[in-house]
Amino acid sequence: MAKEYFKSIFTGFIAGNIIAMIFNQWIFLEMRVNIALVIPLSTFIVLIVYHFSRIKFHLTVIFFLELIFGLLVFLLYNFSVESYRIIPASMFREGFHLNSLSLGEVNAVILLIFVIANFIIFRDSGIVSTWFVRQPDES
Amino acid sequence: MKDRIRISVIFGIIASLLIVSCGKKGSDQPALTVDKQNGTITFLAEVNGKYLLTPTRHGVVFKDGKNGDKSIFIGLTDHKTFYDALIAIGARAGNNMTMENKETTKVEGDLLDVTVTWKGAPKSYTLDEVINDSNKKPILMRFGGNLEKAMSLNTGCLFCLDSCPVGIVSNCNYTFGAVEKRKEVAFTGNKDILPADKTLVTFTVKLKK
Repeated sequence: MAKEYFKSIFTGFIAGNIIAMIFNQWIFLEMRVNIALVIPLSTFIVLIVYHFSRIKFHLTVIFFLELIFGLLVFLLYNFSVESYRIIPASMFREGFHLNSLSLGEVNAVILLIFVIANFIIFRDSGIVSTWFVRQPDES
Repeated sequence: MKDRIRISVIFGIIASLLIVSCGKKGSDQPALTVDKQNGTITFLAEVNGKYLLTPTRHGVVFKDGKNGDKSIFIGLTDHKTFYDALIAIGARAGNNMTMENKETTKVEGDLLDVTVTWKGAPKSYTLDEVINDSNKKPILMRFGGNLEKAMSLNTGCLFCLDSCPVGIVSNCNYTFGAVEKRKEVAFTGNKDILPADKTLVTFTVKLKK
């Protein structure tokens, strides 16, 4: 049960990041509104939706959301690898009002969230056990 | 049960990081100093890493202003103090921008010489060097004034990158709307020169001779 709640929080978080990045391209809006607020908002909404509907988020959906997120960071910001260091962290910082943190510190938090979330979510899918748990010798 | 423990640990780690970050100390230097004898103003700001890649029309904005996180540099001094400092060094404000004429009028007022440096920087850089104008036009900062509007709207804008009826100082090359509406130009921080996000930088402003 706790894992399903965690999955819904993470799904909302990733979806919020994707929406924020798309809207961030609209400079007029970006200059007037804290678009990144959509990240905590989306996280909260998906959590509430899960709480009342018990809708389950399939692993494939979460995987593709992560993939889209990763691709958008690259594609929307002039195909710059540097955008991975700047864009998600600046969105997270703005969305959660963590203005005293540097982008480097926010990146550490995001990395922690992603590593732990992916480990918990995909742990029982077979992917993690294939990669990290030694398989018994068949012979 | 195990899941709950793990999730509690994750949130615990994140919360600890945030609590530690809240205890950070700011700089001991004054946010703004005026040297009337030499006619210079120096003020502190922080680099905002976001706008090294994302375009903006805000050059420097006071951290507690409404646009405090929308600029390439986050100023540690407020717009009123900055305005008073410019008056103190003898600068004359244009005060020609209104909400009605903003899209057709370029800001007037005394032309200013602005440089920026930071700890470890090899030299003082001009605004042209640290801010990229997609049209490669040299940035021309003029003392627009606009104190009344700046106080009532509390946007915190110190330097705007197009002529603005609210910002204290504006770039007179473009009229309002050049960045957001008409897409005539895009401004970003120069990531090849500027230091890392949150690095404290010192701006020096004086009248252009």
